[in-house]
Amino acid sequence: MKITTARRLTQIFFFTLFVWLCLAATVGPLWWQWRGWPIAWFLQLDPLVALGTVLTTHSFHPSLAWALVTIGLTILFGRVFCGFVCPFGALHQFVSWLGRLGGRPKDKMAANTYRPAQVIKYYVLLALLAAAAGNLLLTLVRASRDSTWIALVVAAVAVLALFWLTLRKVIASFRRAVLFGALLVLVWFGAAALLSVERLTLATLQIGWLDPIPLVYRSFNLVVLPATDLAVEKWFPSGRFYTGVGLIGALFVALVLLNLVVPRFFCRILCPLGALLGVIGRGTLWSIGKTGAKCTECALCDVDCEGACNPMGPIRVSECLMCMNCLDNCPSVRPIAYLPRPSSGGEISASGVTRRGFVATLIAGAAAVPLARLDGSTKSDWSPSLIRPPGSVAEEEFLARCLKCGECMRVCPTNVLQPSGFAHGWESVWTPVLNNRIGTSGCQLNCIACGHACPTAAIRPLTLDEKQGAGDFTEHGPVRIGLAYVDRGRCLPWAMERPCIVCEENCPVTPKAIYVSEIESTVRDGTFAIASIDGATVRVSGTPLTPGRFASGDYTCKLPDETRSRRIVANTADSLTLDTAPTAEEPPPPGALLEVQVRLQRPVIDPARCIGCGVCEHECPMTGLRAIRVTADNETRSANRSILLKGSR
Amino acid sequence: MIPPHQSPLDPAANRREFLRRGLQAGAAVALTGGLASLLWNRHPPGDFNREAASALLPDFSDKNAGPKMAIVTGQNRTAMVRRALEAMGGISRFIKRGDRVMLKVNAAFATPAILSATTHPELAAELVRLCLGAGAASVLVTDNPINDPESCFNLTGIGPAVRAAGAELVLPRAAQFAPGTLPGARLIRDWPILHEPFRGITKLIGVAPVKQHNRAGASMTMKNWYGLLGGRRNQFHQDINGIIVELAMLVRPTFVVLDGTASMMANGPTGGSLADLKPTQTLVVSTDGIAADAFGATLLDKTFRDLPYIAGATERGLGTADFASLNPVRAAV
Amino acid sequence: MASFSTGRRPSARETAAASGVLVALLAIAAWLWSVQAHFSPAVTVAASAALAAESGRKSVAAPANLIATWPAGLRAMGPMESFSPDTLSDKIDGKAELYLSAGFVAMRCQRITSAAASDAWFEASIYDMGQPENAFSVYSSQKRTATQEAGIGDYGYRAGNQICLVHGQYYLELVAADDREPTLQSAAELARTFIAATAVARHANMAKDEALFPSDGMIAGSVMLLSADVFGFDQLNNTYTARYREGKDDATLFLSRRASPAEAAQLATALCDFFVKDCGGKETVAPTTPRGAVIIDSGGAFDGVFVSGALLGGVHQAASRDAAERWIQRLHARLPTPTP
Repeated sequence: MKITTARRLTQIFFFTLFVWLCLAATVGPLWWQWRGWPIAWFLQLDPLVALGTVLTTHSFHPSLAWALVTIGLTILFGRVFCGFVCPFGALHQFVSWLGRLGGRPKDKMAANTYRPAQVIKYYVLLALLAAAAGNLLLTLVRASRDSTWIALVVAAVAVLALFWLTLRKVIASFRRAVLFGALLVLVWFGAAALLSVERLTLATLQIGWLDPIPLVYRSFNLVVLPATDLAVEKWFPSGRFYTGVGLIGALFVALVLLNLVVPRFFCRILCPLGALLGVIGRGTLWSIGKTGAKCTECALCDVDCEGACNPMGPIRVSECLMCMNCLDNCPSVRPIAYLPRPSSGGEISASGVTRRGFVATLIAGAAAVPLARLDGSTKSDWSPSLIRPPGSVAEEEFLARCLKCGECMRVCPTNVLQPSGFAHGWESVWTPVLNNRIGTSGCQLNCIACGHACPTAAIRPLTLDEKQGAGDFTEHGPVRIGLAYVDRGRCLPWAMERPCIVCEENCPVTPKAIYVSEIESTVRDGTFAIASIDGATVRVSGTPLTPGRFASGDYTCKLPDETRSRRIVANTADSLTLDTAPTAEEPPPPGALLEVQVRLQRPVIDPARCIGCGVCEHECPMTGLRAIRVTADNETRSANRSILLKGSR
Repeated sequence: MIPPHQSPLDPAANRREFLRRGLQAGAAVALTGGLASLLWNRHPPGDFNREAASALLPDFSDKNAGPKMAIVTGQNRTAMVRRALEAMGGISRFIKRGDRVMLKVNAAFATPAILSATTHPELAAELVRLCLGAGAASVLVTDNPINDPESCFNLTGIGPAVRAAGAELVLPRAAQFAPGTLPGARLIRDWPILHEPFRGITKLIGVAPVKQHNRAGASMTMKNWYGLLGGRRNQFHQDINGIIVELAMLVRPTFVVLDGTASMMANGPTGGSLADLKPTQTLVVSTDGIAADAFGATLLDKTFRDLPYIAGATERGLGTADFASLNPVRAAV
Repeated sequence: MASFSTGRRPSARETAAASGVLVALLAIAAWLWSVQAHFSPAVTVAASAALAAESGRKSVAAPANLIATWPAGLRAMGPMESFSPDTLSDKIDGKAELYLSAGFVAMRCQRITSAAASDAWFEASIYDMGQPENAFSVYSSQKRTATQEAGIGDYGYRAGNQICLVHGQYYLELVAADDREPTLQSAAELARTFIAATAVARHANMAKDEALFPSDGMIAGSVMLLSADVFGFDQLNNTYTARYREGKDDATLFLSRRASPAEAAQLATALCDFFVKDCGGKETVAPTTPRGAVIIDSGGAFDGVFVSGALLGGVHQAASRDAAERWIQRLHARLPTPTP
C-alpha cells in the first residue's frame, strides 16, 4: 500500500471523527449523543492550546496532555499532524485539489512553489504567544526579586537565549556581544526595580482567532452545523441561534475559498499552529529528503507539494506538511524518500523571520494587552452584561484560558450560551456569554455540561453538588452567575397594574429567589354605580364593561360598606358575578358605588437566593426589553462583585 | 541551511548522524515531558479543592515587661505622646535599632487636620521622629483611605509632615493587596488585605483620633485597622461590629496611640465642623488597643458597653475592656 | 493529487509504514469506542435529572442541614430530619394535631451543639406553617407562662430552657439540654442566623384583627390565635383571644372574622347554643348594647357573644354578668362600624 493512500484514509478518518464529535456534542446518553465521546479531543491534541495556556497560567492542565503526543510525533516524524490529522488541513487540501482538478502541471508547480509570504504565520504565532506571555514575565520578575538565585538563573537563561536567537548574528565580536548581554541584564533588573511591572505585564489568550483547531471547532459548532440543520431539520428541534455568526462564518468561508487563490493558503501563510509545529519539527528525526540516488531534476515532486517546501531543491523542512505526494510523483528509482537523516539535496531551516521582525512582533504582541486593558474593562468598568457560564474562573484568568472554540455553546442544551461580540471588548470576542433572550430557556439548574466540555477549565468542570451548593459544598452555597433585578418601570404588575407573576413561577431555585409583595388596587375607571343586586350578580350602570375582562380570578369587587372584597367569577357588559352573594342585611341602594380591584403580586428578588440563571428573564412576557433581567453582579467567581456580606447569606 | 552533501550512502556516517539526531529528538521529547510534569496542575483558580494562599499579618505585639497603658492630659500632642511613651518605659522599649516600623495613621478623609477626622500630622510626624531616633532603619506610613489616597495624605497634612520627618509614605495600590482568610473568621475570608508593604516590617504602630461613628458608635484605634482592608469593603458596614472584632484578631500592633486632644462628639466619622469637637485634652498610649478604646469611650461620654465590638474582642481574649485593671500611668503636661 | 502517479509499486517498507498508520487508526477507533461508553459526568447528571423529573421526584438534593451556614461556634450533632403532614406525628405524637389543624406544611429539626462544649446542645425545630397567621396560631396556642422576652424574630420569648418565636410563616422552637446562659445564647444565635438567611414576605404581626383588642387591662403577651375547637366548640375556629385582668378578676375576650355577616350571625347563635346546652348555662337579660348581644351564665362564669358585621366577638368566663357586659361593650366600641 502506498503511504499517500494511508494518508488519505487517515485524513478522511480524522475529518469524519471531527464532524462526528461536533455532531455528538448533544448532552444525552443516546447513540448519537455525547455519551463519553471525547468531544474536545482535537483541541486537547493541539500543542498551541497547551503552550498558550501554559504561558498564560503557568500551569499545565491535565486534559491537555494529549498535546504531548502531538509534540512527540512532530519531533520524531515532522508535521504529520498537519498532513494526516488536522481536520481543517484536510478540508483545505480537499478544496485546493477540487479547485485545480485538470489543471496543467506547470500551473500547479507554480502554485506550489515556496512564497516569501509563508513567513507571515511565524509572525502570527509570535504575536499571539507574546500576548500570552506577559504573566510569565511578571512571574520571572517577581521570582527574581524574591531570590538572587532565581534572578541569576533567569538572567543566564535570558542571556543565552538572546545570544542564541539574535546576538551571535547581530554582533560579530564575541566581546561586544557579552557586553551587550550584560547591558540587557542590567536593563532587566533596572526595569524590575523601577517600573510598575505588575500593571504592564498582562496576558491574554487570543490564539483562538487563528489557531486552526479552535477555529474549525467554532466554525462547525456555531455555523456549519446550525446552517446544515436548516436543511436537514434533524439535530436541533428548536433551531440553533448564535449572535454574530456572520463574522465567524465569513472568516471560515473566506479561509476556505482562499485555497482557490493559493493552495492551502491558510496552512502555508496564516496557520500559527503550523508555524509552531514547524519550529518544533525543525530538527525532525525522519523527514522528506533526497537520498543521493540519481535524480533527473524533473521537478515532478514539486508539482503536488502541499506545503510548498520545494522537495527538489534544498527542502524547507519546517514547511513540509508530510503529504508524501512527492514520493508518489517521483518517476525515478528512489531519489527522494522519507529518511532519518538530512536531505542530500540540502535543507533550509530558516523560517524567514528577520531579527527586527522578531523583536518588533514580540513587543507589539506583549504591549497590545496592557494597551487594550487601558479601557478598564477588566477593572472597574467590567461589563455587567457579560454573564459567564457557571464555573467560569475570574475574568482575567478566564481570558487567560478561553480558546473561543465554542464547545460550551455547542453543548449548552438551551442555546443560552452565546459567542460574545465586540461589545465586551476585543479580548472577549467569541468567548461564551449568556444571552437569556436567545434559546429555549436560561441556564438549567441541573446541567453541568459547559464545564465538562471546556478543555482548558476556563469553565471549571463542576459537580452538580458544587453547582447547587449541596453536599460537601453546602458551606460555599450555589454557584451564582449573576443576579436578576426587576425593572419596575416595565414590569406588568409594578408599572401597569396587570397581574403577571411568570418570573416567580419559573424561578427554579428552592426556596424561590423571587417572592411576591401583594397589594389590591382599584383598576383604572374601576368605580361603577350599582343598578341592582340579585344573589351573587351585581348589575352596574354606566360605561359598558368588556365581557370577561374581570373573569380571570385576579379581580375582586368591593361593595360599599363591606370590608372584604369578593372575587369576580364572570362579567358581562353590565353585570359582575361574584363568588359569594352579598349578605348585608340591607342591600346597598341603587346608585351606590362599587370598586373593581385587582390583586397584584409584584415580584421581589432575594439576592441571597438568586443564582442568576436567567430563566425568569427568558420567560418574562415583555419580549422586547425584559422587565426582569440578569446582570453579572454578585457572581461567585469574582469576590469583588458580591453585593452581600458573606455572613449574611 | 544545510548544504547538499555528497556521501549520503556511507552507512557509518548515516548511523552516526542518526544517533546524533535521535539523541537530540529524545532530549527534546524528554524536556517537553519534564516541563509538562513540572507545570502539571489539575486545579484551576476558583476551585474549592485548591489550597487558597492566605496573606495574613504577623503578630507585632510587644512582649516586653512594662506598663501597658499611659494616659496623659494636656494640649500639646507632641509633648503628650513623648510623656506617655516615657511613662511606658520609653520608645526604646518598643523600637530597637534596625527595626522597620509601619505607622498606620487614619487618613480616611481629605479633610484638614483641624477637623480631627484624621490623625493629626504633628502627632504622626513626632512618632516618626521618635522611631527614627530610637534607631529604626525605616518608618513607613500608610492607610487605605476612603477618598483618593494622594489627596487624603496631602490635605490632612500627614503626607508632607511624615515625609519631612523622614518616613516613607506608602500610597496603597491594588497590586499590594493579597487575599487573606483569617482562621476562625466569618467575614475576613478570602478578602484583600494590604500585604505587600508589610514585607520586612518588624513593628506596627496604630495612631487614631477619638471619633463618634454613626454606624459603629465610635471609631478609635480598633476601627482604624479598617484601613488595611481592600476590596469593596463598604459591605462590611452590614456587620460593623463583627468586622472590627475580626480586625482586632487580624492585627496585633506593637502599641497604639489614641489621640483625644479634641474628640469628635457627633456627626462622625467625617465630622466637618469644629462644633462637632470637644477639647477632651487626653492622649493614650497602650499596648492593648481594646483597653485604649474602652477608655476612649469615656471621652465620648459613653462606656465600653455602648460599643459591642469591645465586648466581642474581650470575649475572644484580644484585650481587656477594664482598662483600670491595667493600672494606667497617668500624667499631665 | 496523484495525477502524476506513475503506478510505481510501493516498497515493502512503505507498505509496512502505511499499514502501521492504519493499525494506529484502528487502535484509536478502538480507544474511542471504549471511552464513549464511559459517560461524561455532564451526561450522567442530565440523565439522572431527566429520570428524576420523570418519576416526579424533586431532583434537587434536600439540604443536609437546617441552615446553610452554621454560625461561628456551632455545629451539627446529628443529621437533619424532615417531616411532612403525613409523618409529623412520628416526631411529636400527640401534639401533631395542633399543627395539622393550623395548616402545617413541613417541619425540619436537628440537634445542634456548641463546638466548644459538646455537652451544651439544643434541638431546633422549624415548622413551616404556610401562612404567618398559622405560625402565630401554633405559637400562641402553646405559649408558656413565666416567659421573658428574647428579642428575636416576632414575639420571641424564652421560658426556662426553651426559646420560641415566629418568623413569617415559620414557627421556631429551640429546646436546650440545660438552662444555662451559653447554651441558650447559642440557640438564640441559631435562630438569628435562620432569620437572617430566610426572607419572608409577610410577618404575623401584620394581622389587623389582633389590633382590635382594647389595650387597657390586657395581660401582656396573652393574645392567641386559636385555629380550631375554640372553647371546646368544634364549629368555632380561627379565633383571636386575649386575656384581661381587672382588679382580681380575669376574663378572656375573643374575636373571630367570618366570611360574611350572615355566617357570623349563624355562628353566634350556634355558640350560644353550645354554651347553654353543652356547658349547662342559661341566658340572662340581654344587655342594651351591642345590639343583639347575649350573655350566658354558666354557673358563675359569664360568657357574652355579639356580632358586628362579619366579626364575631365576645367574652369568655367573666366574673359577673355586669363585668361580662362591660367587657363586650369595651370590645365592641373598638370595632369598625359594620355594614348597616
